[in-house]
Amino acid sequence: MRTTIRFWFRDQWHELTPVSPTDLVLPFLREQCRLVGSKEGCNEGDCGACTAILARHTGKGLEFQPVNTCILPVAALDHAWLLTIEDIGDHHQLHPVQDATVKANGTQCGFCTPGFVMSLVAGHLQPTLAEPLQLLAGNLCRCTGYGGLIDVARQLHTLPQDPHLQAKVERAEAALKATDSEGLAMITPEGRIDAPTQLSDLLELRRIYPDATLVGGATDVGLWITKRLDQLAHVIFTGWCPELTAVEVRDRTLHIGAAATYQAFRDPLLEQYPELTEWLDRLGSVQVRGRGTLGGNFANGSPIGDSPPVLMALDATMTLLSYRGERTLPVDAFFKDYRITDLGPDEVIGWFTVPRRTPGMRLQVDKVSRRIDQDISTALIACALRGDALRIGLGGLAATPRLANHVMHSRNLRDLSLDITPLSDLRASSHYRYQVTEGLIRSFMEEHG
Amino acid sequence: MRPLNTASSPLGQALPQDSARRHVTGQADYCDDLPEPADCLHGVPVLGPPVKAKIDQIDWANVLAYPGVIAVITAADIPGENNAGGVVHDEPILPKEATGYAEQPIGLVVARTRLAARRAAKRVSIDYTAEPGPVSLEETIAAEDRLHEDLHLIQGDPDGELDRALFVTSGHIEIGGQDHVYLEGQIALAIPSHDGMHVVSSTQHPTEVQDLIAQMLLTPAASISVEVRRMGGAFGGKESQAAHIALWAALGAHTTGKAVKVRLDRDDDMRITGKRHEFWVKYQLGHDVQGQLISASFEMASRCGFSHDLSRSVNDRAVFHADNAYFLPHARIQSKRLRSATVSNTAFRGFGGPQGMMAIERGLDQIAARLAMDPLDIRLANAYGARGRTTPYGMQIEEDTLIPLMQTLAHQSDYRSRRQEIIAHNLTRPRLRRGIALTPVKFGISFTASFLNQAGALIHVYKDGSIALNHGGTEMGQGLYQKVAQVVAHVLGVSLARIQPTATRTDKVPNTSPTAASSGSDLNGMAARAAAEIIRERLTGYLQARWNTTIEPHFANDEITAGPHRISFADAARSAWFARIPLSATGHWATPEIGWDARTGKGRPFYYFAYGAAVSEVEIDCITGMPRVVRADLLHDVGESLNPMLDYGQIEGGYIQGMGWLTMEQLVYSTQGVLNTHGLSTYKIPTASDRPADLRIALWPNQNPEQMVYHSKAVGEPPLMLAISVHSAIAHAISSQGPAGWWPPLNAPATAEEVLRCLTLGASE
Repeated sequence: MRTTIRFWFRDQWHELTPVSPTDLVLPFLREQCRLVGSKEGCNEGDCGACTAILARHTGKGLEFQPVNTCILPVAALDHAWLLTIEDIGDHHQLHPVQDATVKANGTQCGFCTPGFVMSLVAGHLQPTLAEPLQLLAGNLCRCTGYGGLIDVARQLHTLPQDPHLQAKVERAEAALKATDSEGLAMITPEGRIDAPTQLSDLLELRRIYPDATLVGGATDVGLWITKRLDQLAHVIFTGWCPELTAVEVRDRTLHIGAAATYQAFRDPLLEQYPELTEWLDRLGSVQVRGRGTLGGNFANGSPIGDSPPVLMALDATMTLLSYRGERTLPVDAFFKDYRITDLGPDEVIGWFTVPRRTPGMRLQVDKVSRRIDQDISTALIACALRGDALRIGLGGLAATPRLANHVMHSRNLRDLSLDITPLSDLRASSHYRYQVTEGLIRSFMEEHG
Repeated sequence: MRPLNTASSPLGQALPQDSARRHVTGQADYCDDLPEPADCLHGVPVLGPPVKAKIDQIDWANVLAYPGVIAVITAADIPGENNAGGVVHDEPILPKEATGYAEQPIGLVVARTRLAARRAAKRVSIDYTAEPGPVSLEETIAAEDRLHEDLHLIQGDPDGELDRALFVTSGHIEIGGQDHVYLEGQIALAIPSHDGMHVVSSTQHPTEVQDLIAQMLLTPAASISVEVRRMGGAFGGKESQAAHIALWAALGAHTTGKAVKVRLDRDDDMRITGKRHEFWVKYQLGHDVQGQLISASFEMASRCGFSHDLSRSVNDRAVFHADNAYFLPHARIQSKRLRSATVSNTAFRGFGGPQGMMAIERGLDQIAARLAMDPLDIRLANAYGARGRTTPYGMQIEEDTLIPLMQTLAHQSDYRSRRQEIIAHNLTRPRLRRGIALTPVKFGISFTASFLNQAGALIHVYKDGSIALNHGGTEMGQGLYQKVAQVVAHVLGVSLARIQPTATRTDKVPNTSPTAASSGSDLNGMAARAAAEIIRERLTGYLQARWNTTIEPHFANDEITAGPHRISFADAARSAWFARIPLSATGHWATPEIGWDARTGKGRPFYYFAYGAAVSEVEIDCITGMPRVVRADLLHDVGESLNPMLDYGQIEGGYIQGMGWLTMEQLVYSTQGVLNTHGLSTYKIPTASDRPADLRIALWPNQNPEQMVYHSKAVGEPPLMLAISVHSAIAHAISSQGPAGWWPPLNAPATAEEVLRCLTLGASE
């Protein structure tokens, strides 16, 4: 068993011995390394002030992903390169992105600035990462009004690469090329961390340790640690198993591993369903989508997850795995009651199977939230019409995500009250939720018969 | 406009914030980034019961037993005054017997690590008896528990003229609060020393932190020094609120003898620090058939929270801005300041001004709808300068800025033709309706607590000609250090590179006012200018004697010249030192001519006004109610800009922050008073994509007629109120859903739900 996590950091291999399965990257940087350029703004992955870049070798080259270090478990660093603001320029010699940010009036109090710079640098290193506004959606600034920062995001493609950073990139690429994580199995002073690379090992661990916490990208589990102060005694990471991260376009279906990130299945999904672009853009942020997974979104069992209603409308199935074998069920059958799912104590979510687009089909997804970007849904309504078959997936309107079975059957909105029982909460009143849902389904029905 | 800057002076130049290069590299240190002293301990507040309550008993055993915990600190540990209230001493540092609001901290856990302290703090067990009080604005108004006496300002014969008016347009509006969401949460580090205590605090008001700690520890103020180099945003939220955190840290340090840092987690920060005041305003506007106002009556009530804090001044400012930009021949403005069982509301950019202005802007829109006129014409007909110049508080509006500024903006933004196009677009009743509005801002500059309008500065010139600049103003991102450095560079004719701004410290410049009320560069700029002028006079006297000339030396380009004589600034400094000339000076500034009567509300509360106007165009979704600003044109008066880059930044940032306040930012409390929106996952501030895709900003070419720093004007707060145009434009879009003449009773924030509520009302009219 290994006792250290090994990653490329500040131009060399770095070994880190976690104390607890809940050790996170931001405290490692700020408290252990005294690298204080990454800031803590919200401690829940919303403000982006702690943004760093995680780079992995894909076999072809390095792939750069901005991450919220405040909710990133240290285990995620294994065999990756962690770049922080300390790697980028110096006030005597700025990186072109930093120079552009100063010139564009992109900073006032400066507290959010390192995080913005890291998101921008990620977009500069990897131009395909996101559109300019999307690149900034995971970073909050309360001072500037964003104008200067947007200017920089829009001119990224015109800025030269920085020779100092390029040299670091080359060294990291060479170092990471030769290695691959062989998985983790670690006993730490305060618990145990497993990250198996073999599916059979994962299922065996799940059989032996049904109480261990399964973790995908930790975009939600991270908050259990930072906000609820949960002390998880044993975590098992699912994302090391290739079977669980695979994304494949098959004959009639799209296969999405439960531990594949939103970023990883974005292109193949949007190729089938370009109507989902806005839905995906508004789900979390670049930082969150680079870590978050469908498996996590489902296993969480939350009534307000953004993906279950969409997969329900698309008539997707999911496959659950255990040492006993596998079983496949329609995604809507997975949710039993508020925060109760059909996942057995020895099961893990394996993958999702989404039917490919069929000719003439219509799809409309509306996310209703306070804010456009990076917000939790007040309600999510997904309507799909394949031939004569209407499917309506709903989120935030009942104890679980669910299908509007009555309305789907009768095509009469008077039956909506049989399908939903919205609550009043901090996001909206039940009345509002009802009214909006009715309005959006009606607009879909009127438009598409 | 005459450009301020000449080749030799940095005054008026567009320059970034003094630390911009450090910001972008993560090399600007904030309080939490400083190396911690050895054995530094960490304090975390223990939150009280989830309802206002009498404390029967607290069991600390599980807290104390938690590994790493050193101490639990409570009110009993306070040697001196248990007070965190800067104005009225009614806010306990830690309550003893009863809490004033849900989750008010009742103690401080001090532990070896912050994580241990956080975990331990959750293990407290409290026996309490709930004593619920009013929480919502509605309950607060019904309870009518006055925090202090009303301000009742009367001009002329408002009631008689309302009776006689041909039309009376009336209504009421509810205006929500706002969390500051400074990206750097509240934090302080207290370090005991043999002289007393040194406290690094993220505060806009170091002097108040110093005073309150001294009173708490029964020690002279001179033994406490407070330092702040920079804050990661503040917006008013660190004017009085920072003191609590610093007091806890200081009390922890006093009790344990070790350095103690207190850094709040974001969620605790949101739960236990004050916010913008919620307001309810009832208005009656008497007017003629052309929409000219004859008489106005405003009845305001605000939810102040459980203690005074700054509520008196906030509400005074709301009263002084009920007129916004409009002449009211007769007026009654009544302001009730109400106690509630919620955290004490506090300063927030605009300081009551924004809330004060909302009612009259709504009312004018309503009048325009009623008379089937363009609201801009109603606004122009009533703006100061069209008919009258006397405010309800008796101050004369001397500048002729408002009307030409509004007209210029209307022209430049193509307001009138766009409005016609929007009305035509909405006539087809599409799902996405549009709306447009032009609203002005007139904002009074000066602390209404007149004694605060003073500042001090300290300048040292060293033998090598480098200059250390210090003043009482604090840097929170607004660029104050840069602007003041520009002033000093101008006076001494040196380059900015020669000037080192230094951290604000109470042991350098004492008895300072908070950096608030947009006054930072006005007050500190004037004080620093005075100090620099003293140095310049001394160098002038010395050089004239040395050169045996009566020619007035010219300070420019890092040189001093007089006729044939010439010396570099550095050489002048060194030789002056040899000649035993003092090269350190303090400067002070006190704003003249201001003052008003707190009983009647009459007088001159402000030295001058800053003006601006905005045109916002919005789109609303009639199914979801979701609003979106698509274009905004801002024209703002900063006088003769000291630094256009920083001023543009303030204007844009203020507008977007105001847009957040009036649209998506909503504080939701439980019936018991627990804040449910206590994190950034539930309380939503604007992101980059909320910024209007088309945002145009221009400065109004103007000089401040008053003598404030080189005829510049304050810029911190006024632009926030440009966003009232967003609210008005949303209402305009909604109005298309109702019959002619109807105007929606849109409250603030205009969330999607509030917009849909009004759309539904319109459809049923």
